[in-house]
Amino acid sequence: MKSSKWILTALMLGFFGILSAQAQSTTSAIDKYFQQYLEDERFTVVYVSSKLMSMFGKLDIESMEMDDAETKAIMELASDLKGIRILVTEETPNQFYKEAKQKIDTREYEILMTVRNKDEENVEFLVKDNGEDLIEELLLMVGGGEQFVLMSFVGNIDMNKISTLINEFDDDKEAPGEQQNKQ
Amino acid sequence: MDHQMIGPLLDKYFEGLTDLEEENRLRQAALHGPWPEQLQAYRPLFRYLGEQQQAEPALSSDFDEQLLAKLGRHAAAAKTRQLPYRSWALRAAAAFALALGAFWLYQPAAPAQEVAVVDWSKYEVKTPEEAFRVTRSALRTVSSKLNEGTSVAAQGFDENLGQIKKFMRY
Repeated sequence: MKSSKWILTALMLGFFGILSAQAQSTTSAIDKYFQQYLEDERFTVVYVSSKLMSMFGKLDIESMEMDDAETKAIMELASDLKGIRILVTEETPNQFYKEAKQKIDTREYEILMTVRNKDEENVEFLVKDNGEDLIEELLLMVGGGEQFVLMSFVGNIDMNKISTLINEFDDDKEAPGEQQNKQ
Repeated sequence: MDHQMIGPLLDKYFEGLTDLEEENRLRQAALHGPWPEQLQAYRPLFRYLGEQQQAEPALSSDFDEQLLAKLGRHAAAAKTRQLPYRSWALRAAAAFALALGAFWLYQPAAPAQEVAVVDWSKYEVKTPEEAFRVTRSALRTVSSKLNEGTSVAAQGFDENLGQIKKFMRY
């Protein structure tokens, strides 16, 4: 029947609309699950845009007294990133960690790694991949201990570049820097 | 017809100035009458035209009637058809479904945009130097935490050993 064909077309249109709307929402996990923390006074929020990262090439790296190979690895990785979002709080880190774990949709984010170390600190890496080798978003959650940290790296992240960077950081024995960047 | 007239009439004909009567006289002369010797070359043309005119069958007097009768038969065959009630209902349903489809098409876009409306620029660091420092420190944290995980995994704690092996290739 002709009319039923039209009905089917209309339904397909609607379905397609929903699909395309979902495809458009390529925002970070923070936009999605932690928006209310942004306005929360207890949180420090830092955002590095891809525009700023594209300016790394013009920086006077030598004056920053850094390892060349390390800088190179950072730049390599930063060139693939579309943004870094960081949320830090020092109040009730355990509670925030639990809350965050409940919020994240595990159908969308795959758990890459969970660690609970001797300092009673929970670490969880979550990734959203695009079905290929690249990762669309890498989300790091650190909770317990002294602070709750959420870091979201959005872009087309190549895991191989991350392991290169790990090796570089591993070479010099400097202690890993914490986020002290209060605004 | 005086065959002396043929010459001037031909001149007039080729200038396109003859009327129907004169052209008819030319055709008749070509068929039946005398034709000047020096103008024989033109005679076959007018003879042919005259023959064609004679051969053409005239329309019969009842031609119009026949034609109209013929058209009438077809017109009667293509009579209008009333659409049944159900068909109209289906059309209405289709229109409704289309409207619903259009509604869906635009509806989910709104909440998705709401999510994206976070104004990140107010949290953005101001200078590239600072951005680099933050990036470096963030990546360093990632790196150290990943390392932590792999060292724990090496002791057999972690479930996702396969995933972590990615980082242990070196």
